[in-house]
Amino acid sequence: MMTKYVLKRIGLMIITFIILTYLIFYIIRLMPDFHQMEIGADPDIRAWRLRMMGFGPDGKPIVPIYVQFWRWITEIFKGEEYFKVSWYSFVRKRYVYDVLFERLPETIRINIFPFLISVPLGIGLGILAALKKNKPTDHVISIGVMILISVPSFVIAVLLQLLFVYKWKILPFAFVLTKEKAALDPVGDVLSRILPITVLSSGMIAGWTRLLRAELSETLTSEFMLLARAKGLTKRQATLRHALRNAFVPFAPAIIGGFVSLLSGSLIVEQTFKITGVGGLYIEAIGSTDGLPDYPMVMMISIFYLSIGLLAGIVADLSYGFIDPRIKMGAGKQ
Amino acid sequence: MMVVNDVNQLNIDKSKLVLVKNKEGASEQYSLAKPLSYYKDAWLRFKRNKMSVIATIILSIILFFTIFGPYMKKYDLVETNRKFALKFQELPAKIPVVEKLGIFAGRKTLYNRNKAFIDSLNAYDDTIVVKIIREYDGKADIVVDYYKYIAYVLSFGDEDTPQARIETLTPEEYEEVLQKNAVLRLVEIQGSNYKVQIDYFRYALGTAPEDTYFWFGTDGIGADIFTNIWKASRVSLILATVITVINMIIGIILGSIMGYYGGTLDILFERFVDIIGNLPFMVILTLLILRYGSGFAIIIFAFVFNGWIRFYGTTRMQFYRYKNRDYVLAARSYGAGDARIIRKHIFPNAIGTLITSFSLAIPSFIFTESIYSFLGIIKYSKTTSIGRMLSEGQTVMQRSSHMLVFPAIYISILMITFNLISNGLRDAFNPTLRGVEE
Repeated sequence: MMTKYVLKRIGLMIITFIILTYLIFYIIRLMPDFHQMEIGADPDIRAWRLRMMGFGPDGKPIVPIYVQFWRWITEIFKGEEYFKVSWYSFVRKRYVYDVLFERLPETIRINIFPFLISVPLGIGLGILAALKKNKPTDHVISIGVMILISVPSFVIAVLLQLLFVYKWKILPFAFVLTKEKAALDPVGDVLSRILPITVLSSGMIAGWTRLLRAELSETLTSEFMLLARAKGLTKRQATLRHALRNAFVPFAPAIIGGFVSLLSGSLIVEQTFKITGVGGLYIEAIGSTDGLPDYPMVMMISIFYLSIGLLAGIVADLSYGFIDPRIKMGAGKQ
Repeated sequence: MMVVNDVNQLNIDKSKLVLVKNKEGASEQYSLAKPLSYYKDAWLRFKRNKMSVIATIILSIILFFTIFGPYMKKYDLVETNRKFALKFQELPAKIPVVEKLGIFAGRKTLYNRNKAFIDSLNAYDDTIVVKIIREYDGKADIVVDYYKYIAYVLSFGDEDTPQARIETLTPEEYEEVLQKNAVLRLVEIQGSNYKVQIDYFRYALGTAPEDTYFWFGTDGIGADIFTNIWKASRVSLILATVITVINMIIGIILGSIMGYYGGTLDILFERFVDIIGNLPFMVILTLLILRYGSGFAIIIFAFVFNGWIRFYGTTRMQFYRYKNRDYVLAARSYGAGDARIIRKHIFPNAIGTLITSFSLAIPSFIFTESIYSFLGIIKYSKTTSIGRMLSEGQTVMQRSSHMLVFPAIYISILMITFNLISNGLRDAFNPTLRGVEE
């Protein structure tokens, strides 16, 4: 039953993935300036690439998009030189996946630390707020959470830059140092990462706290808690052994899903602090700074975001069943 | 205590007895017991939530400024003379009354100015330089009244080109300048032409520096930030409302149909929703903008593309929950058709949650829109937006922090009030939370 359900979910996910990839591919190939890429490069190579993709010398498509899509997929299996057709960035003169995997570690590096500190802090604050519900402690935590969730992270980011770097001059750098500078100045590198980590953590902590507070205060009022107290457990025992475990049922999948989503990073924080991660790559690729979009790159990152989204969703969903045996996966109507 | 078994044993004058319902004041008591409707109940609970009420008041103030704010400051130099308006770029905030406290007084810190230049400023008007922060080998960092400073620089030249600018005007031009009371010095009359030193500040803005107030300062092209914030606010609030209403209509119609009829159609449609719901929003938005530009229609389309799913889900869920209730069966046995049952018997159950979703969707749009315009993905051609103001502010925050601070405060307050209101609405409409708050 379980295996069947998991397989079914994965199958559906793959179908969704293919359909959406085709949709993105379709829109990108229909862009009026798609064939204009690489103007100025070796005309023979350019003509060859366009022909292989399915475009005529004048830039008009000569084969239908679904044939182009098929060619695009089969290129993966045909070997190195075929990658050069549509898996190659004409702006960067490199394979798109190489660029992506080169940027990925930086994104993970900036995101992993906030994630690691925000989970325990969020759990702690969430428990505290739920236990002290409607008391001053809860009010303070809830107001903090509300503010951090309401105010967009880039607003927090720029205000922190303004105050800490320019007004109070506590921190030396407003932006994260580039690799070359970081190698020369390791202390500065760490200092320059304080602000982005603070911004990312504050948002995550607020999110986890709110989620756990809501779940836990619901479980604390349920009937089995009354039973637990009636059979003689102290409030602390009942909370830790019974309420908390139940509250974790929706909380843990969220954490697991959140962990997968770390890969896609935060576009805003990367952009605000000039971090050379995946998010910044996307902004560069759509050409908001210099002219023509880098379409192969846009395609690559779009698929990347799509797969991370799908993966995070399915991992979170499936983990429900593993964490709580009461939830029968894929059970029909009872 | 005496127990009275028979009322007739009591010796009471019956004429002194009054029926309870005839007693004075009792009628009010009866009216209090009138049954509360769902909405009245929700409203009473909403009113009890002080934070939500305060947030509603603040939101009303924001709405007031959004409607009337753009007309409060009469200043059209940017439209009439773009090049001239640039001279008034990045003027700091200056607010009447508050300026007496020394904050928002139109002051700015200038670094590395020559002593000679500072002396000439002082010679002209000793209120220009407010404070000297630090002096070193012939130079100094100074705090100036930037409005007066700009007025001086425009007429007498700045540090690098310290010469008075003399213009030759025709009689008509001279008349115009004279009318604006902007003649600083009449140098000489050449035939019918006048050689004049003009007080450009007064000429452009019509007022002396002391009487000129840009409440939130000006931006990089010399536009008034106060006006711009409310213009941007107007665009984002209108877009938010339009998009949310469209999403809601689509979601309600589709959700009702799928939830009510169910079956194969519903299963197939769920797959469809699952697929398009998984398309990353950023990808939809960027591809559409790359293809068609950031016209309002495209922005609306991008946000509607899978934005309706939230409302669809809520409505469909409520329909599944209520469609098999006995009262629905009763209505059907009385001969009510599908359309009537959907409209009159099941849909009202979804209204509470839909109102909450509505109040959450509006700030969520404003939030997302501000992020993408901050990133430079959404770029309206004619109007500005809070995100764009913030990203412009970020580049110059070292010297002109007001360009960053005011839009940041605006959007923070707006988001907080919206979230407080939707929290209040959620608590008011969500019956499962009843009694928890006490």
